[in-house]
Amino acid sequence: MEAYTRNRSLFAKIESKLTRIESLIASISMVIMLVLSLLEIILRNFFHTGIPGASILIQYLVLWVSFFGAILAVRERHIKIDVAIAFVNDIWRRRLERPIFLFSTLVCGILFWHASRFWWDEWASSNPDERWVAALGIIFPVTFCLLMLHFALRAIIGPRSPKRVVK
Amino acid sequence: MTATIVIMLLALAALGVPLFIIIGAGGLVAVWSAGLDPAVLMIEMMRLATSPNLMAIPLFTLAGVVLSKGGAPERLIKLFTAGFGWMPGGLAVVVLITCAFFTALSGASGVTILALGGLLYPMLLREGYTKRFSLGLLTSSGSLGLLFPPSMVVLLYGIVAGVNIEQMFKAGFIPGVILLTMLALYSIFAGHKLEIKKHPFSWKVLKRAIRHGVWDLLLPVGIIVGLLGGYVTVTEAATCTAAYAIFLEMVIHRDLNPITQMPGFGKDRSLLEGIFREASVLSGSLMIILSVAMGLTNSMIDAQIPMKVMALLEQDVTSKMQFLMLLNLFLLLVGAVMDIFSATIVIVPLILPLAHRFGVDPIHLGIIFLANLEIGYMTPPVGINLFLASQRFKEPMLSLFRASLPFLFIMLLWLIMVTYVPTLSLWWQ
Amino acid sequence: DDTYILKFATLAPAGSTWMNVIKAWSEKVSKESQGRLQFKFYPGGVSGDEPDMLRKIKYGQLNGAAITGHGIGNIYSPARVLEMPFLFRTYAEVDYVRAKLMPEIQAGFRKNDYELLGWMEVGFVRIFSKTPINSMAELKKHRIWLWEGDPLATAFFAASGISPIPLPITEVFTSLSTGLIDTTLAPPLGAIALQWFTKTPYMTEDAMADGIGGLVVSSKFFNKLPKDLQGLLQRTGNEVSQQLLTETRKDNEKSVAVLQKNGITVTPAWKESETEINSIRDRAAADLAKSNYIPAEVYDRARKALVEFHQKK
Ligand code: NA
Ligand code: NA
Repeated sequence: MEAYTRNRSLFAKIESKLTRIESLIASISMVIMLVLSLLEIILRNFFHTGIPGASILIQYLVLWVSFFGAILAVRERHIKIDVAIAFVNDIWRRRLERPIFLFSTLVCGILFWHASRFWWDEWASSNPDERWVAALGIIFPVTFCLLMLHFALRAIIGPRSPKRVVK
Repeated sequence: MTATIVIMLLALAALGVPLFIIIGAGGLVAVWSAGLDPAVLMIEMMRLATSPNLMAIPLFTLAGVVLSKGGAPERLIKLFTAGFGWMPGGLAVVVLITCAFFTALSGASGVTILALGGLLYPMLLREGYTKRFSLGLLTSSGSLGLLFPPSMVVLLYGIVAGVNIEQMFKAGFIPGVILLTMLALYSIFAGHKLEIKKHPFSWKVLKRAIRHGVWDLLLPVGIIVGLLGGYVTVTEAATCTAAYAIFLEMVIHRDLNPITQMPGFGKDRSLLEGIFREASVLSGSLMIILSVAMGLTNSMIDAQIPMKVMALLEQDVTSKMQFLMLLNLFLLLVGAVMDIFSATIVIVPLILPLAHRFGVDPIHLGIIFLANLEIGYMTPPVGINLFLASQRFKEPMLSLFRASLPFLFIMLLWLIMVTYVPTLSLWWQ
Repeated sequence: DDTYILKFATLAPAGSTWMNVIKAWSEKVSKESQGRLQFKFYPGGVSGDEPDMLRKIKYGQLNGAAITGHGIGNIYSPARVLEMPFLFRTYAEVDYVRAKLMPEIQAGFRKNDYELLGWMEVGFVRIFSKTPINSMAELKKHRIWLWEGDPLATAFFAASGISPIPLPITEVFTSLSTGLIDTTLAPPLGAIALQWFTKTPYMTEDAMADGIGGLVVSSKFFNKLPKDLQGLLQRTGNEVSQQLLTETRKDNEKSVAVLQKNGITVTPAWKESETEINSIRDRAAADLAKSNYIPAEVYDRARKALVEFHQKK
């Protein structure tokens, strides 16, 4: 964390604030998911009942937990097949970072646009009883929007010096 | 045009663009060139939300992070050393058996490495195994129990191919045990060559180790009894495992602080190093790939590409031997680029009629199919075990692939045995 | 001079009765149109669950589908009054009421951008379970599958005080194997086609409801076709759905015998009184009317038609 507070630029501050909020959402979703599914097990096995809508809520919480984790992974480490990077020296490696982040921003931006369109359609065409389920689906546009934002911030802030890479 | 784009995307991937961006971009290109609305990619993502065993991924991950951040590795290493340290390669054998068991009960969804990797990796290193051997062992162990009940993949094959599930499990038993034995023998050999220190066996030490580690031991015992006894489902097992792990580390052993370590509330690092957060990052970087990959698979189905490939294959094949050889090559390729669940749904209906024509039993075909796809877990570019191990151990995929080569070689030998000796799968008929 | 490709999806697996009949239909259409209208098939759920298929139709990836009541509910939900639980007991009742409602159902589909080419059935739905179910009270103790996002079944379970487990249909078999659920609802034919019966040794004598089905294409695709091809699709669609209807009824009858031969025990009719079961049905109907899923006047019309049928007899 020290590594980030040292960088006092406005964009670094925005990134840091965003990350805190996202961490909070990811952690809280994880706790709710665990508690809800424990409750469901107890109710179902000992009382032959359940919480209405809990299973669907849990299904979406899995996505909230995971996709917010994926957003946080932008600053840490996403899964890569960086085969060629082993043959590139350090200077070039840092030069490549900005274009890579820009490309990722672009792809997430396009996916964000289509996710929004799709989500809006789903929400508008859902019947009133199921509107809450459609509302939970907003995780898709939100995910791509935040991914886009983080990749853009990374592109603006630029490469980190090797010392400042967390872990 | 298409070829240019594919090559460009592969180059970008090689230079370090995150894999989900590459697959997402590939999905976009695929829908554009087919004249489809990119919103169909989102339909596929929605489908991911409804898959009922998905919940097991973040929860088993959470249990793994909790256990590995707590004192479980230390307790277990004492216990295993006391129990198996006397034999050469003892710990490696324990790793193989544990992973095989865990993979089966976690539905072969890839969580083995996440849940056990953090625990077993430091144990192996401390015992004196080389980094390379340890990484190779763990990377290839992640899919080892694929053929044992209650593996979800076997269930899925049975449904798609319309064969009896119990018979599938019966057929998979001996091949599964053979692979375990082959890898165990290699591990014993490696342990011998690496001159891993053998510990003299002592009842006193073992008893003390059991007393310390009894609560950890109860976890796998609970899962076996719960699952095989039919008391809990896979998702329930995942929930209970996570809850038990938290209880164990927070209440019984008090290795984890419920405020500063679980959510990560600290003085000036609020929430940034918490265990819940780490588990969500680990499962999230896998889930985002899964969700975009479903979009790409959809484009392949839409263009009926798998069907066309099979039609080509159909033209030149004349004998059963030739068919089986080509089938293996084809399936190894499929395993390289597809995950096992989509592959089962898409490929099995296509190869079934061909297998029938060449006199291959559908149950034997299932074992061949799953054996190939099991190898596919550790072949790039889409190798779930490589992804997970790369994420868990913070190592580049290429070096993990290199580390698992000896294990891959053994598995290929095993694949040949399973393919050309049908009796191994069909002895009970 | 233009050729049209109809991308057509269904849950029915390749090689099943349904898929064979539909394949024959496609060959007929292709032949009679001299190759100007051709089908491309996505069977066995490769395109996902029915709501997924309809989404893909909406965004133009698919053009048509053979769907059951679950999908029909997403197009024109009032049509599902025909599969209201415990409303119909015989095929004759169903046929009479359906004929009365058909014009408004067809109009309803068209208003929602679909062309209904033919009407069919999956048949009377039974309850399949791992342990015998002899009453509503016993049903409550089971882990029952709810087709995810199905308001009709949701309303029925809510009215009966049952908390079911929502899953997509593509996950039912594995969930039966893992124990996530121990009870499913299916017509006998479906239980065999999807292999569910291998996990559930008990089947109820009582049928819950008559599962409906339909052959649909999107209006977007249909309106693009020249008049002669539209006519061809409608005519042959209607013929093939008649054929599917009779074959399904025959197959369902045969399936009960096949199931019994495979060791399935049929549990006798439930102990609950007719009034009790009817009150559950009416509460569910009231619930569905509130959300306008099945408007009250549609339910009333269906019941009136039913009374009319019995008076005529
Ligand atoms: Na696994
Ligand atoms: Na692979």
